[in-house]
Amino acid sequence: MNQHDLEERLNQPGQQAVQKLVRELPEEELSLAWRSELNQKLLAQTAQKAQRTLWSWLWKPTAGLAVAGALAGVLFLKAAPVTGPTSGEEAQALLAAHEQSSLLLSLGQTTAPAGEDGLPSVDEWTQEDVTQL
Amino acid sequence: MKLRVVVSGVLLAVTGLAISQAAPERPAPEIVQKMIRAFPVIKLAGTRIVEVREGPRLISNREFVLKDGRFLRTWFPAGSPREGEVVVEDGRTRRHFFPSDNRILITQIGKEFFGGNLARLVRRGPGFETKEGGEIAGRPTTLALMKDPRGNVRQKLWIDKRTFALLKREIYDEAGGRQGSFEFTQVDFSPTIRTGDFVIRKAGAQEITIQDLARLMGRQMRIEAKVLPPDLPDVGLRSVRILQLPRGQVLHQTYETPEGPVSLFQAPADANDMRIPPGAVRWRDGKGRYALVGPNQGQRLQRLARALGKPD
Repeated sequence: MNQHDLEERLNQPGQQAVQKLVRELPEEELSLAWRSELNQKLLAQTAQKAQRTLWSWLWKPTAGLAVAGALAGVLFLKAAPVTGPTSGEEAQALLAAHEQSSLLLSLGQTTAPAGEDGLPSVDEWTQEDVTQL
Repeated sequence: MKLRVVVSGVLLAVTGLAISQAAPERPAPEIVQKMIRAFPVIKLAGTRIVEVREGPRLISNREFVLKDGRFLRTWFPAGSPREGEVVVEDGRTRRHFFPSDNRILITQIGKEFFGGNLARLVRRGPGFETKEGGEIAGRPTTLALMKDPRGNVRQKLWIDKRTFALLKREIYDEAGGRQGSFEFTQVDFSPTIRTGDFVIRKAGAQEITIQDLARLMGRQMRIEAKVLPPDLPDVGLRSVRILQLPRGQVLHQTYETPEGPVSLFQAPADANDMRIPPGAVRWRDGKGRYALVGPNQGQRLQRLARALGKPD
């Protein structure tokens, strides 16, 4: 098929009708609303990514420090204490009483008698009381 | 990336620091080690002044001491508030005679002595500094300063240069206040010791163990005192008393453990929960409110609490 044959075929009425049909198809332009929506989505995705990066920079060092702290805790403190409510006069009084007893032991003393004399502040008792314990 | 490098650096630094802290401690000076080794065999007779700070009060006592190895007799001079009291030890048991009651308090004892638990403190590895101590009871001494990790002097020990006996000891609190001390004013290292010097013979004297004393005190408080059994390894009840606190009465027992003294506080069951200092352990059951205060190495407090019936 040469050039002449090709032009002749294209000029046939059937081909002309198809050509006309194609030309008359409406040419759609991209909607501005659609473009705006696309932009919004892209913007949101970019912001999310930036936020994730920021979080990553925040939590990773924090986690690192937490691990370091925990490691230090394990190595420095041979036994983690079980703690309860702290502070307050009563806690101080208990600690002072404990330290006082520890001091007496360190000096080879038993607890100092609380009374003027005799065994430490026990009401009258007999050997029978002891055997009944 | 830089931040990660910094974090890794901090981690390594903390690890290194921790490892260096856990490294073997410096040995105590030779004279302190000799003092500890000499204690179980040393023989002496002497007079010492014991001072204890109790709140704002300074309580001072003069004592006579006779020691033959692990055997020890302590008594008090005429005119002393404790005149007539006699304490004898045989290395395992302490018997304390109270003349006004004609009663003898029996306590099982551990390795503590009137040099007091120094071996444990030395094991813990405090910093030491030694210098000339001058004369104590006419004997030349070396002064050993025992410091905490911050460099504060917590104890001063005057050690006889020839016998390595501990002739004077001062104990300081964290703020540098002197809390207690003893000092020999006279000492003889060749005493005459007679049979029976370490025995108390008092006709009709009633004997009571310290565990029973704790139970009696509990009964006085209308509570059932929790007491650790006397055969518990490495743990012994050393003292018991009733504290008067704003909440009311609290039974206070002190136990000696290899890590140091541990205090057990017991309040009635219908009282409020006790407020405890940091590191302490507390619990309650149908018979009382309890708190354990003391060193917690090796989970000591938790183990004692379980032995006393604390639920897991």
